[in-house]
Amino acid sequence: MLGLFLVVLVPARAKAAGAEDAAALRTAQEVLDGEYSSGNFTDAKKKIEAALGRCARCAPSTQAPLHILLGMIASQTGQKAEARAQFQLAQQADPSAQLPPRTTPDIRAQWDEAKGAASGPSDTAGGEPGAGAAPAPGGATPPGHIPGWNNVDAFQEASAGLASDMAGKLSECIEHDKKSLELEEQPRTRLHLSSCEARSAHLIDALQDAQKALEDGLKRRDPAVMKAARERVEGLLRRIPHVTFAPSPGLDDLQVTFDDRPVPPNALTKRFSIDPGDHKVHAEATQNGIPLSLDQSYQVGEAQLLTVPLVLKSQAPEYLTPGQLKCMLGAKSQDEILKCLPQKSKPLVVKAGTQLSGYSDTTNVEVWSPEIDVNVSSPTQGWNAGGHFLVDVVTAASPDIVSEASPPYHEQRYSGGLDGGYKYKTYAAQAQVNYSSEPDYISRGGGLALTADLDEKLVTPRLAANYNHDSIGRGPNNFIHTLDTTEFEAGVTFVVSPTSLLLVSVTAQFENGDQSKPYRYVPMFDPVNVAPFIPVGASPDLVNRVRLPFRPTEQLPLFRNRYAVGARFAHRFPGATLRIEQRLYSDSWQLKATTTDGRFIFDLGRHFEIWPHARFNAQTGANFYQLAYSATVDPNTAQLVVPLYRTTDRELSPLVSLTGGGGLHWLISDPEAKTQYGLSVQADTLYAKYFDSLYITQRTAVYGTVGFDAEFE
Amino acid sequence: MDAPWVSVEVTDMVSAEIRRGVVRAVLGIVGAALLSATWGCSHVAPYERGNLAHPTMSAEDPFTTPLATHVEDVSEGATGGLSGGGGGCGCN
Repeated sequence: MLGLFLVVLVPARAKAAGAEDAAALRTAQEVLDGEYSSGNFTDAKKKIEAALGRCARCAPSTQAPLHILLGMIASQTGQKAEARAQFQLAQQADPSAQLPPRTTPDIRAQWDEAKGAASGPSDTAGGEPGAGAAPAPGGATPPGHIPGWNNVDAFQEASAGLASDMAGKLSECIEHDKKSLELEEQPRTRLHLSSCEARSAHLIDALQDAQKALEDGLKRRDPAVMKAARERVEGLLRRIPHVTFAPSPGLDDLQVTFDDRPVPPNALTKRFSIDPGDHKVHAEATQNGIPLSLDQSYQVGEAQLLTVPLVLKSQAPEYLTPGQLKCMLGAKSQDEILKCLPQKSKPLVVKAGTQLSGYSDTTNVEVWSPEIDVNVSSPTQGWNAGGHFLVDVVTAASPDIVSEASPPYHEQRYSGGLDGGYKYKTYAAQAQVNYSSEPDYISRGGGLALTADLDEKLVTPRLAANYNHDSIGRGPNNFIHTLDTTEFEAGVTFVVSPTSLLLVSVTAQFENGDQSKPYRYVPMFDPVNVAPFIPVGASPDLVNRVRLPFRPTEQLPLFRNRYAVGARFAHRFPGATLRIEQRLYSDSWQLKATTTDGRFIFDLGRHFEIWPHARFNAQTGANFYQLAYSATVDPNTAQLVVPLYRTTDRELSPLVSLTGGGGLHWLISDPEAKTQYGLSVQADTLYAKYFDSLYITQRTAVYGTVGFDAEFE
Repeated sequence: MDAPWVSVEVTDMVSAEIRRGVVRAVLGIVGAALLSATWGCSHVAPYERGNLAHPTMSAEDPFTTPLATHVEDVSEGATGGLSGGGGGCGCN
């Protein structure tokens, strides 16, 4: 209805006026429908004052509406004296001048004061002091009720917003208007908020508020609000800049943030509305396993379309060689970067190694074990396949053998296995089969493991199941026992920090079958006169002198459920890596154990790594383990009765063991060479202390490995 | 020739023990899953994972040789407990 005001007031005069009069009246109409209706009083005042300045020779009746508008603007911005002065000028120029409809009570009161008369029905000019009236800051508002408002506080906040706007404090204007709108929704307040936001370069917020004001205007059927809001929306839509992204091909796990807000990966190529001003783009991805990133700032002007090319480069210099870094820094596109990455030119990677291991201990056991292994993988296609084969050559003359008057024995064990896997996106499966054979023991097994890369590869759970079927014999081709072992594993690897990771896992192993050693005889003693007095570490001679004349073979329980929980922590220091493992173990034979293992690997230049190694194991004995077993005679049957379960296996007795040693790896080739090969040496000494064992109380073993490894395309 | 001593059948408790074992294993796996779900992982951006890609930072064990594994198996009564992979470096 405000838009009709000048048409109502000066229709005939406008037609008769000259060009200056027509221009002034047109400006007044535009300002009334535009800036004034939307609460942009600053611009409204400037335009009217300019129009008035150009209208010095206009008819007084033409100048009157301009003064009325200036008075209304002054009233709205709390300048009551100025408002009255402008109204007086209007009344002097045209005594028949009237206020437009739907003005605020303050404006009407000031208009009346200017006229020097009390307000009357004619002053309202048919106005409707109801919904949609704009606030009048500092006006003579009746206490407790503001016409057109339900909430006095909202009115005051809106008034404060207007005052802030006039003072040029746009951020305060936005703050006050928002508070007002929280208290009471008023479309004109929202339009004014939109105006302040638009002038603060917050075009998106301004557009949203203008759209909301338009909706409210439509709902309230307020043509002035509708018109002003529609024009505001259209104007903002033309001014708002946009951004879109151009991702390069070949990037995996691409994540983009714009001003720290994530951009949906499937909508990167769409256009997003943004505010003009400074913006920052961050992107992360991997390419052939190489972590890449992008950090770029942009300055965007109004109505501009910003297209961000997502050309990512490596930011981790320690991960790349200097040559690769130089190549990548000079790259202009993702394709050029891709050419810098070594993996792109490695469709097939072959790793091969051979090792020779040796073992010797103080119980006269010696083992020599050569081994070869080969693995072929395609990092780009995700598959891998490999195999290994080893031979154990064992010579033993341990006290257990000597005590049975058996000669030292020589034996070979052959063991081999195949494995293969495939990785599809974030999921991987790995399968393996194994077979080992020695004259009196054959083992066949297989397993499957599944892993998944979750949470951007920060969490990697793994589930695995393995099965083994063993045949245990007494002499070649005389297999008398079988042992079935089923094992389930569940583990999760966590990336704790950029330099630390943690693995936690549990395993449950179920052994079903007779795993007793057919060659292991268990001495029996008189329960009263001998057994209690057998000393720990009793020699084979002593045992043979005092034992009963018969020796049953070992008999172990036919099932064994074994459980273990473990954790492995790895931390990378500058130039060194610390690895620590801890395992807790318990089984259905009541054997409990704790094992701690640690390595500290130091980089010595680019070619050498050297590390100390330590391992500690402590365990209780199995619940059926005894130092000296007793046999009795059944008085009814005269038969000898021996313990149900019996063994002389020292590894089932209480013990502690400590291993110490170290290793060295020498990368012989250039670290950047396509074909890399190296040499490794490891050696450890194991000391075990047995607290409840026949024949020996301690054992020392030395074992080590010399290996050669190569990797080539 | 029969053994000159009395032996007792030892398979009577197998079923009960296996049932108990399965329950323990399931509880262990569920516990590990809960630990995984409740773990407050810090966010490590891909470009911060250079250290994690170092060969010595593998979640698996690249150091223990087959012989060392065999020595541990036969000289310690315990087994298992450490099974996992990955590591988050972004490597294949």
